[in-house]
Amino acid sequence: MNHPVEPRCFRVGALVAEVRGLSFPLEAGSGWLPQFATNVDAPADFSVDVSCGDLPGSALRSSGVRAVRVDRSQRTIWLDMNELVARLRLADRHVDARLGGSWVYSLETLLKNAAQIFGLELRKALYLHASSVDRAGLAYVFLGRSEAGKSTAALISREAGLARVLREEMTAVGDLSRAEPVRVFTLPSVEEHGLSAGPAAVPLRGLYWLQQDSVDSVNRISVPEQVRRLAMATSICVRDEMLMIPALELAEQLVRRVPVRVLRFRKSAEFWKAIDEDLVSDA
Amino acid sequence: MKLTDTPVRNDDNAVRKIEDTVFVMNPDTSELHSFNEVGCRMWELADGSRTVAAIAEAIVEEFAVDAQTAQTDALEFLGELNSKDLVRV
Repeated sequence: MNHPVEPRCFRVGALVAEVRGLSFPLEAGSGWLPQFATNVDAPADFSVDVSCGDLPGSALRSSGVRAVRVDRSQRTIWLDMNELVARLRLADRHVDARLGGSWVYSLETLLKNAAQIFGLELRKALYLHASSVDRAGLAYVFLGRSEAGKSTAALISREAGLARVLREEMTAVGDLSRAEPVRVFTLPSVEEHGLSAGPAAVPLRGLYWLQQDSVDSVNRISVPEQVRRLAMATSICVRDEMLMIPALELAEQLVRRVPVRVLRFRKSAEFWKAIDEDLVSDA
Repeated sequence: MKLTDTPVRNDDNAVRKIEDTVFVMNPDTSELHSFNEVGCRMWELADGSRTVAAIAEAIVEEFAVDAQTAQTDALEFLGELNSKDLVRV
């Protein structure tokens, strides 16, 4: 049942979403989304109309995509997930969604997937399978294959008192559509180790592709190789040409502004010395 | 793949060229492929108008390799692309 309620705006990574139709109080109960609420007058990147409780839902049901349909001629994507169904109209920058129950997690899932898609459509943001830390007011992002040590690098940095963890698993980078410095943005959710930095936008200082090794070193690679590794790390919930081409475009833009370096590390916080030496030599 | 086959690029793939590297993404498999300069040129030549043999001849002229090497490389490279549905014959 759709109740007319005032619109709410949320920052989801580098984008702002205006949401209409919420019929339940977000502030009551769990979920990180209320922390990311922003001024309703903030210019929204995309709008969302939701109806709540129209789908059979369970608080025990896990998130997951069941089906995706893409209409390239209409530039429309349909998402069928365990906890929601949604239609995203890229040209209109609009989402219509039905959520399963008065469930904040459904809304968080919807907004994060929509932000991934619109971030690419607007050539504004990349969402990366990466950890990120804030060290002295600057963000460092750790990329890599599964088990490369992305979470490890972030957590040992925190334990050594060298940095605070921004994100462990999914990092948003933007705004690539503007000339201002690129920043790392946090997303509204709790991650594996229960860590979440809350809303943050920290200037990006370095991107590092991790490889565990017996020594700590930072190595430079070609632009195409940087793009390849960044593309491998990019999270795209819908693997279609409509989104994959912008992903490559944005990856190239990003590496020309903040290069990807290969960081070989020994699973100790000593790797920061190698990073600092490389940044000094780059200055 | 045979020298007499005529490969044509699969237009369903997302393609982007960055410096001397071509990136091709297959939406069905989510695989990202990248080609070096020679591979890039073979990809460009696989437009449905040339046989594998003709592509190899072009590589001989443009990259100063011998014909046998060019044919072997073209068969192997284009055969692999065909197996991944990046080109079709």
